[in-house]
Amino acid sequence: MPPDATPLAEERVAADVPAPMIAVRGLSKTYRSVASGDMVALSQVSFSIMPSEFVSVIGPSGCGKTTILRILAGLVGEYQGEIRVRGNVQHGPTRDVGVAFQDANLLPWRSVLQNILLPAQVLGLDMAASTRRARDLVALVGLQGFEDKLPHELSGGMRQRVSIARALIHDPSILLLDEPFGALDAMTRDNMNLELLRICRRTQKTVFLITHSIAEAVFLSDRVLVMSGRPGRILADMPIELPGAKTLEATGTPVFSEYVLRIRRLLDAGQAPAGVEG
Amino acid sequence: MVHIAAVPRKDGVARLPTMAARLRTVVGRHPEFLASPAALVLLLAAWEFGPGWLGISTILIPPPSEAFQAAVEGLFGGNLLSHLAITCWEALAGFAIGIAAAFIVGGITAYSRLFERTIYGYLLAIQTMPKVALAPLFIAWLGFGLASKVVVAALLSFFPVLVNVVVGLKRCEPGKIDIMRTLAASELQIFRFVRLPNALPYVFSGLNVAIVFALTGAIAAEFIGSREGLGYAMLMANAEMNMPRTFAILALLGFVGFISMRRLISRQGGSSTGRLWFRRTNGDGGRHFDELSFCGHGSHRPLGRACDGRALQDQLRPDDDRNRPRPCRAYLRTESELLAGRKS
Repeated sequence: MPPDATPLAEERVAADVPAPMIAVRGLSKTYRSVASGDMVALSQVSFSIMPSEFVSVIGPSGCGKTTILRILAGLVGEYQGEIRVRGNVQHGPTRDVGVAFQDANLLPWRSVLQNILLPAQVLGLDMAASTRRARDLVALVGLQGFEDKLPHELSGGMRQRVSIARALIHDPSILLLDEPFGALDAMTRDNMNLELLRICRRTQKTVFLITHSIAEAVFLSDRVLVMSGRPGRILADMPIELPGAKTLEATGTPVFSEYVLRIRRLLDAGQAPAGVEG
Repeated sequence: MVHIAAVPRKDGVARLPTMAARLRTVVGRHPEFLASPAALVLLLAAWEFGPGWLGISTILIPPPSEAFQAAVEGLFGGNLLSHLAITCWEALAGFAIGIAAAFIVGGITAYSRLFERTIYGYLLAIQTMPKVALAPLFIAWLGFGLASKVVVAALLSFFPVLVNVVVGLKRCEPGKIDIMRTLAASELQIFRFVRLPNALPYVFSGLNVAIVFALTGAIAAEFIGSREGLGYAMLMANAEMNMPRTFAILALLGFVGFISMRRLISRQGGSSTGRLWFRRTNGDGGRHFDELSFCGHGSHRPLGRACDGRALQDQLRPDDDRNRPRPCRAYLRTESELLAGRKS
């Protein structure tokens, strides 16, 4: 694990690696409520994500994963700590971020193409260029021929494809994904993961993905952040290096199983009442 | 349109189906095309000849032929057309004033929590009152002229639109608004791109109710005190025991109500009459109706079974809790979750 690396080596690496795309330092969040008392959602979370890196967060339900994402997306304020995007301290939403949630949240009165174009309209981008880009994105997510369909005419997986295309329309460098395939069945989910991997490779996005599935995290990510139960802390920051091509067959290899097992042990340890440090 | 395939003949040359074959195909696929007019004819026949056979006086129940005759005479020879114009004018003016006020008050209610908590509750309380009962008061205040009728029509059409505007603007899935907020959208943009289109099906269902209410209000006010309008004409006809004329006016009123609802309010073509009855309970552009949620009388709360926990429960939840997202489908438990569950 990286924390075990010698300080010297770490310094050397830091010198020639470009600055991180996202740097989160000492992030804590407490939800204040008169009725049910204060609830500490996050406690001293620090991590950074390099440009074009695919980072997944995994942890038990209610560990604050979604809170991190919502803070990064600018939806949640009043937190302690610091968030830097490209080195600049971030407050509130930025246009350099694309977000997709577990629910596709498409506007039911807009066609697929119009839904994808929504961010372009909101941000006041050039509509002619955006429409061309939207058509490219429709092809990228494999929905050719469905441009003029309404969301209720699509399957759940197709709606998620639209929601991912919408997150990409304004060409953000960062993609925040909150369990985008969480509500899909296992087969569709595998396929969508492959598609996601392909899209992210193609577009060179920096991706922050929240997931409940260890296998999904290992399969997709360059690095996996393992979180403890509430209050959420980061137990481990684990780089994933799978040999060979990333196909679904890779999920059957011993290296893959080894990663899954290690993460599962960490999660189990994090659940223990004593809160063993991972 | 019904597609009718050309029937191939034995010699291989296709020929067009005959008129009779066409008709058979159409009726075969849509029996209601024949059944619906047949039912009407049957009903009219029963009305025309039934009372005579049963020995009921045709003075009390005039046959439809006489009512039709009275309608034609009244419209083309008599003064029914001018009465009709007066009533329509009152109803439309009242409708316009009522919905304008409802849009303004509804918008304020949706955006101002203070207003919602202080004033809106009283408005809802007033709404439960039979507002027609206020008509004599307005007649006393504003006289026998048009103004009193317009006010009553406006009052009646105000409430169904108001509650639907408020519900439509407020009941919007938080996730959709989150998407807008991640783009740093302004409140105006959120209103334009999400809240307003989201509210439209509600608003139109309110308008459907309101136009009928406006007509009701105008007629009721005319009953109480007026010198013109269909309500007045009907009272006069009734007093003279001119039953065919009464029936003719009733039919005219029904026709006006029907036309106003279909032509004035309908949108998106097709069968939008469903909007009068069924309230949309889920944010899917009006395609998802809860069949038990009647919204006649502008009732604020859809009755009966709620859909996805969004309709009734959410309105009963405390205000600050109401917009919190709730899972709308049973989500699949994943490996790690099951693991977490087992440990705890």
